[in-house]
Amino acid sequence: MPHPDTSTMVVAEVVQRVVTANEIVPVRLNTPIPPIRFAPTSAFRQRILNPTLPFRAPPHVTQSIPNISIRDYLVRILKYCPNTPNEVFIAILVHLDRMALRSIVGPAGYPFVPHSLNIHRLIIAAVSVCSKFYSDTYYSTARYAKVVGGICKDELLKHELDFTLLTDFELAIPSYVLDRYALAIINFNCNLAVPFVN
Amino acid sequence: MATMNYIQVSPLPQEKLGEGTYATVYKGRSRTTNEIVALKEIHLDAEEGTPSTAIREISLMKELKHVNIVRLHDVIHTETKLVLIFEFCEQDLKKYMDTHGDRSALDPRVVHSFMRQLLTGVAFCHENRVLHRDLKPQNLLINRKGELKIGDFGLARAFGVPVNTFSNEVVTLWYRAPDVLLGSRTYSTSIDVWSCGCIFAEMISGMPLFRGRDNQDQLLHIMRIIGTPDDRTLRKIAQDSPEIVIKQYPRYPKVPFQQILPKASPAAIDLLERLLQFDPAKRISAAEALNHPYFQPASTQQYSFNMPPPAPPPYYHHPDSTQTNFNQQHQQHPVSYQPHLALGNVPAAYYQQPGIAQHPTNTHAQYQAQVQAQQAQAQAQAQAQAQAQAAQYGFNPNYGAPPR
Repeated sequence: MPHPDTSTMVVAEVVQRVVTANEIVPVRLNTPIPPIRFAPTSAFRQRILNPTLPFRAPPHVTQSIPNISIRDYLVRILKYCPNTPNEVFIAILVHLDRMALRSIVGPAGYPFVPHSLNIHRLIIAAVSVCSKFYSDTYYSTARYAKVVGGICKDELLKHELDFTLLTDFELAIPSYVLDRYALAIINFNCNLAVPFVN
Repeated sequence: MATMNYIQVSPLPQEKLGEGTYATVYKGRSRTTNEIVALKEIHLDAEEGTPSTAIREISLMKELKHVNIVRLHDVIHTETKLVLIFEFCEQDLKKYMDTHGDRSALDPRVVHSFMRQLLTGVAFCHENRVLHRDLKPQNLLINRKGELKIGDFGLARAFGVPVNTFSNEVVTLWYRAPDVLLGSRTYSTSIDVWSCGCIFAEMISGMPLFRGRDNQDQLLHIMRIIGTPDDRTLRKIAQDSPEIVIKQYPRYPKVPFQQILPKASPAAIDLLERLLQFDPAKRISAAEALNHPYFQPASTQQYSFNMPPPAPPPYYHHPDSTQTNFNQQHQQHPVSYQPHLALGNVPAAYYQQPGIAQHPTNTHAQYQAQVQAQQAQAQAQAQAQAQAQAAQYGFNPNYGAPPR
């Protein structure tokens, strides 16, 4: 098994904090819908009007928090998909921030919030889509779903599509932004402010 | 809903504009603006989901907004497919050459215009850190105004971050750069420049320049024309990208391009020479190529002084618009860029003409005086504010409290 990279561990730590923060601060369900400031595609507008929640188990399955920590989950991804480029993991953080900054209004009418019930599915979808974008060689969706992610392939396909639609296909990240995040990861300390808590 | 904003104009299968491995292109029309568009339908595969080509095409083309790059207007998602709404272009360069060329060879003025547009588009991609990786005449679209637009970003990728996950199975064989043929995985913008060179030669002569059957054969075709590079060059290329394996190649002498393309002007030959360099490090960049003497009007050697002005855009005769119609449209919207009327060079009489808006400041000195007056006013205001604050607080808060 490859030795897990420190940067991956920091990514796991930051994602864990985001999730914890979201669970401490209760989500106000009747938040007014903020106006969308950017020029979204029709596909994006359609998706946020669709009432199904993204990155959740299908309705016939009982929702439960997965038994694996985010840190172990990322280690697992690295173990079974060792050729995943590093920027894929950094991109997860960038996309989480972008979703928050854009105040994406989620399917049920309130902002999309990553939390313990959806974060694993969000991560595996993000890794799968981002490796398709960043790398010329990538693992099959079936491998990401069954071997790595522990979900069924059709579910992952749906999550992948949800991820592309909710990021509105803005997968390209300018290299200076990636650099800045990479630098933040290197300089990571315990006092790092998590941008999700107000 | 959103899908109903666009309707398909060509529902019959024989009216498809094109069919690829993962997508079908139809002609369509916008219901809101009546604009003709191209609808690219991408089927979501049950095995692999959204194809990586579609992911790259959408996310990269959304960012690239330029006259010489096909504009992506919108993306629509239905149950089983994604529909990309593109700006409509009548023909691709391949078809244009077949229908308008003299045995596919284009007029030098048309070549000049297309080449400038191609290099402008490619330079814009590279400036925005995108490699196209599949430039060929079939992927260059021509609209009826004679504008050339780069399309099909399915193989493109963002570069910026150095990674070794580049594939060498890129670019259609005939337009593939020799370093990629040798197995390089650390290539960069130079592979698009090589393809531009191949397209340039093809527009001049009407025939693809290097027509190999496979990887090795393609390399030999290239060497037969631009000559086998000497051992030092080969070693240097291998040093730059260590994954290359150098073999023994037959020694071919260089054939002058003038002999292969007798119709080309000396400036065009010189540009081609710089675009088709075997060593990727020596290849000219797209932005530099635009500054080449071939594109400088004064030394465009294909015209003598008594000839009409160079490089009008080639007009495409569409059945539902006549040439006169098109010219009329253009007379109604004349080119607004008039450098001889730039600030300071405007004769006063210009503003006396009816219908010309009065320019507020027509000399540089007046403008400067105005700026200085504004600055002085701002300074005075700041001073007055500081004094008022000093009176109120007993000290100037801008400088902090006085020491006790």
